[in-house]
Amino acid sequence: MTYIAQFFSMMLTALFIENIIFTRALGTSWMFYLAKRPKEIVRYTLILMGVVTLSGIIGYPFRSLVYENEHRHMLVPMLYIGVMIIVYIAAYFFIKKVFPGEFEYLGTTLGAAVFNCAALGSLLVPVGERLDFLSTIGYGIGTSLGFGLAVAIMGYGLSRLEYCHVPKVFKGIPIALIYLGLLSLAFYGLIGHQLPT
Amino acid sequence: MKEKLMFQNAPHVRQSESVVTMMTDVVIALIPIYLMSFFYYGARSLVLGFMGAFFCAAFSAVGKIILREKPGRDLTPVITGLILPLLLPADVPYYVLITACSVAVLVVKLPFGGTGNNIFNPAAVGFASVALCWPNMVFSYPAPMQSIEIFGESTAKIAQSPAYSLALGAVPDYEVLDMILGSVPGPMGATNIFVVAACGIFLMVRKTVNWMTPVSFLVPYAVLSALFPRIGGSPFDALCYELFSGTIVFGAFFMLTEPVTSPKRDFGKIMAGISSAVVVFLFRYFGGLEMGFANALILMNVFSPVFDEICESVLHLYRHKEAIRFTAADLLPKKKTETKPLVQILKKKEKAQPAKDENNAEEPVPEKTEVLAEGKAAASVSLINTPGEELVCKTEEEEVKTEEELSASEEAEEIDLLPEEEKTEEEAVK
Amino acid sequence: MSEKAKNLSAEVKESLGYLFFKNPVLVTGLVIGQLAAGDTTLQNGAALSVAYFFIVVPVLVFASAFGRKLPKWSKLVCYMIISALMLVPSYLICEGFSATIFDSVGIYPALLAVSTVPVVYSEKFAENQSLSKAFFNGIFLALGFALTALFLGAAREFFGSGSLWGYKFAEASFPAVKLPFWGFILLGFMAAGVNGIREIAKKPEPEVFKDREEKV
Repeated sequence: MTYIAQFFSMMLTALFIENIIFTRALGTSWMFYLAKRPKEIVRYTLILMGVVTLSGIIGYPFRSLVYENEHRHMLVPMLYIGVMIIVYIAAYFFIKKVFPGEFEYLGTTLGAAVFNCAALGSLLVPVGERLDFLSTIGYGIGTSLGFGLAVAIMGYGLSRLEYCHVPKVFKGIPIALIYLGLLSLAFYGLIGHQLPT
Repeated sequence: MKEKLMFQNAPHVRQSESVVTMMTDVVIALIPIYLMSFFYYGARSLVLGFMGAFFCAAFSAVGKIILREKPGRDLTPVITGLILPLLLPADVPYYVLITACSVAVLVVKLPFGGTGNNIFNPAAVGFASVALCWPNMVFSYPAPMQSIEIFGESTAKIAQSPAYSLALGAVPDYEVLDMILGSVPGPMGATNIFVVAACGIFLMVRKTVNWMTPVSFLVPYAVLSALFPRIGGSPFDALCYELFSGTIVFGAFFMLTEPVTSPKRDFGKIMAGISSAVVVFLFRYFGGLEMGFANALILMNVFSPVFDEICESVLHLYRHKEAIRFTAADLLPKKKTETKPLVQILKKKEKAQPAKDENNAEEPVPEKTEVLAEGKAAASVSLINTPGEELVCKTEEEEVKTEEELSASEEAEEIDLLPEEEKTEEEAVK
Repeated sequence: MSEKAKNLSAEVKESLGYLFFKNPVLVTGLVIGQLAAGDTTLQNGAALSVAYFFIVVPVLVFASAFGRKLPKWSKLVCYMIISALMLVPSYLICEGFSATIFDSVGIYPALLAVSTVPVVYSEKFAENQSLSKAFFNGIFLALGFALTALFLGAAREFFGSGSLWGYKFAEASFPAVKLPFWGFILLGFMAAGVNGIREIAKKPEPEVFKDREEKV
């Protein structure tokens, strides 16, 4: 029971308090890509969740080998990029064989869906905080749900910005960044005045 | 002359006079609060108010010059500048206030297009940003009933605010009556609940503020804080302490009701009020800051059009049903004259699709219209008894078609951008 | 020979735009997250730019040299392996700046390895470019990124703790500027500044990047 409680508390933490976009600021360019395609948010959130969970499970036994090393800042990301490469190859052939229609639909975006900062970040953060196995998985699932939530909010906001009389200088990237910053400020009310580690 | 249709957020006020009177009403309503804070903290509160108003107006003017926009007669930055000091303690350093003003005007207001276009409440964002930056200064309150020096280091006695002791889970050692009268440490203008509520009621009577928003926010918030108290004691005590500490009442009357960032429709306002109450409650209970109101308000501002959209879609459905009933009853005797052209149109469509016609040919044919409709829209067959409803079905079909065309044209636009593999996929589908 | 030199100079001129008017961060909106969250001091900015340089240039050169010959599934795998391996030299150089650099910059340089340029840009653009063009593109992309990163890092360190490259010389402190939300807002204003300068200089908007915004 305590394990389940731990799992869900970690999931909620990753979903709201340490939201991957708003408080950790990871995976923004992938988010901007998805924010213009609201119909595909669920699909890519599921892909992200699968990638993060699988990589977390595969990488967990190996991380104790790397973590004590003095070059761990360099080796831990390399380990997890390697794990993600394995997951990518597996996903590529699995989807090609089992869901050929889906594979055609995904096209070249499968690579960007697997290799993005949101996925790698949500794998690296639990290593730095030395979370145990269940918390790592919970963190990954919460992160990907939080990513979907953030993309939905941002996509809605960007569509709303089209009806504002934004000055010409601020159109496009600048106003989107300011909007993202203000949303991030709102989420910081949950954390208070301590930086997330 | 501007365009006639205004595709923008609220307020959809065309005449400049009404905007000005609305804003003057708010300024008038803020004056008694400033007088009360003058009574509690001395002249420094008035200086803070003047500085806030001056700097907001100045930043707004400078920003408009940089953006090469026309400087119009606009009172909204002044209101933002008057609301901001009331959220801060009376002995706050001036540079904190100036930072808050600059964030409120230069980050929240001007980049989004100035007055009438801001998505977020400027005062809330200004307060939230300085609260994150200098929490020690923003959340340490001087004890009331002492005059604070206008210049130089403040030597005022610092006292614990009720909101802070609530965040720690302790019962505040102040009487509820004191909290209503405002003689407890806290934000400069938000402690004297009595005066704030009176000013809010003035705004409601003048119809500057719709009464639904504050009421639908305060009542659920009171219920929630009575149901889930953070402190021991009776639920009524918990309710009073939660409701009267911090900036809840002030925010409900002066920040939540900002016409630009709140929903337009009454039902949307009620929904927004209730959901803001829940979000503010969660932020105050689980948040790291003792006053989550501003941050929760920023988050709710994003969703305020969602409530309008829900409201409008519900209304649309409701009206649509009424229309069907009305036309059905009304057009019943004119059956023959109205159906003929429709039938002809549908017949032409049927000829274009012989495969479906063959399937339908075996079935019994009670009426022409039923068969004809079956080919196109199976769902609407059961509805078709009267020509009036047929009309409605027809328009629905047309709507669907136009949507399809739209999506098709969008896809066509996207195809040009897509890589080659996806193009071939699209062709294969065709 | 002279034609080759002309071609080269034209390529260099074209990719010079990545420094300012086609800046990868401020105009295209790439790698914003790492800058907003990780680029809090001048040293962090330098570390991020070094890592970006070492990741982007080899990946783009490899993509233009071998990308067309590889089977489709293995392209991205190769690019990822290269960018992961390139973390080694960049981390060794960064440790030369300061021994505690990775405690302050955190995981953000590593995340550059899976940022948009090595993952998407390499496959969609660099594969169809000549070797020299890909090389210059990579170099000027990295330099444009470095300009932004160093400027943002210096500004945030100066206002946040009143120091530059670790040397403290003022008591000014606005600590919230190190939080990610101020990073987003500052980047937004910098991007607006670039737009404003482009308008004053009457340069046309980069059209290639317009549809890249749609794509990436």
